[in-house]
Amino acid sequence: MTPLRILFVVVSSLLLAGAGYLGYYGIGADSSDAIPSIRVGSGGNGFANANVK
Amino acid sequence: MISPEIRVAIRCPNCGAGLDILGGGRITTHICPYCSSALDATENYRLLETYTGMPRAQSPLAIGMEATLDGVSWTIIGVLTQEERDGVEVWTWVDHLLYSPTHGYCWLTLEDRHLILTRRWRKGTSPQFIGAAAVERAEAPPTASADGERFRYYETSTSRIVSIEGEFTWRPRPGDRETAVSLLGSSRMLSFVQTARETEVEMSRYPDQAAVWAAFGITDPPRPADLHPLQPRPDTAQGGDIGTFVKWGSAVFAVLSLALAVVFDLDGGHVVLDQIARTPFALPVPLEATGRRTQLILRAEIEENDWAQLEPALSDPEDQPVFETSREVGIYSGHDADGAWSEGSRFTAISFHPRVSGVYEIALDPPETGYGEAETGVARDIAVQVTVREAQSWPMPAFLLGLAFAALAAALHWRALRGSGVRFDGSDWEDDE
Repeated sequence: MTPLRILFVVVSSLLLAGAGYLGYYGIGADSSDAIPSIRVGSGGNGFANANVK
Repeated sequence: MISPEIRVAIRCPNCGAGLDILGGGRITTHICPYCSSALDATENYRLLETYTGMPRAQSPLAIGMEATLDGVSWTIIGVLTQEERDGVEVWTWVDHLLYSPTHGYCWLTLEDRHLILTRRWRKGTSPQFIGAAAVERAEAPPTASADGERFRYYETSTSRIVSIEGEFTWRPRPGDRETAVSLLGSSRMLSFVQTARETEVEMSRYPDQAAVWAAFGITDPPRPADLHPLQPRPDTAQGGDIGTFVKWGSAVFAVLSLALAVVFDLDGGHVVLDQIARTPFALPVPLEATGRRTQLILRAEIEENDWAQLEPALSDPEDQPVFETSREVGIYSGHDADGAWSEGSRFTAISFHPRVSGVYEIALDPPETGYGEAETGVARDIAVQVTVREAQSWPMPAFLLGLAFAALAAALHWRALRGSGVRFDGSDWEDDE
């Protein structure tokens, strides 16, 4: 197997492993408005729902 | 016949120039490169006729040059320029007749700066011959097979000789015409050639250009501007087959990635809370799977064309807020000119990562609700189904990676198909229809 083929297999395997890691732990899946720093009543990223009185 | 072992040079009976005899025992005609006189090699080089006004061939290769190709010694013994005209368009190429004492004769053609090696084909073809008339009658591109390889019609060309010099196994004359029906295979071209006196089958291949030029001692050969139909495509060239490997490899990784995405999608995690409660409420949520994705799903029990602004608040076991947010749910339906319609949802889902294990608390006050398109509503108690799933996988990364691999495989497949199609781009078949 040529070095380029080995490189392709290795890089692809690492990408697949990375996707598996992210998917298993759900990294990056958090709702944008489900973090503690968001102010009460804020619509998060969607200001259409903003409800600050 | 003149044996080259006995006579190595003659003097042209017309102009007196010295002419090397290079071509072996089957040579019948020698055209003097200096005065264009045709000499009869079978009758002591007597003068047959002199062609006046004949141009010289334009080629870096000349009579007398020698090269060893694939272990066989060859000498250029004759050079012949051919021309094909179609209206105002003119194509010319130079055929170099090569001779080897052990392997006989072959043609080395310089066409659009590409070198093509051609030999007479004696092994037989199926069908035995395809002439221009058969091509004219054909409703589909004619095909042929030879030596286990399948060939498809590429072009018909009728050319005429415009310049001749050197030794030949027949007597070529300026203006002599030949019609060649050429069929393209995977790596070779099969040609059925017809002249006024004979028919011949030839097989051409695309040699290693740099090796041939170097073998003839040409250090600065002309560089082709376009791909030749016989030329290996870049993605299938010997030693450059990485494209095919990456194509199939990408397809395999696309399948693996998408399969992983399906597995993650089916993995709904563990349900730790599934309860219907009326607002206001505060429900305990026992969470253990820290570090993994947890999803809170709220389903508001609202009527059709009703909406509710849900403002759930989640606190951790130490009563610290994890999040407090606001989501609107609404379900709408009706009729218009296009018929019945519906939109919206009673559901909203919030994903988060609990940092510590323990009993969390989800609280929801009576939401602001409204009917239809009312922009302001009133707070009222409603029933809400609360579902919490922990340790839930997320299929999106594997799905996107699968799409990327599939796109790469598709792009490489398209490129390979295009490369195969490009080989026939120059075919005149469509022009004949």
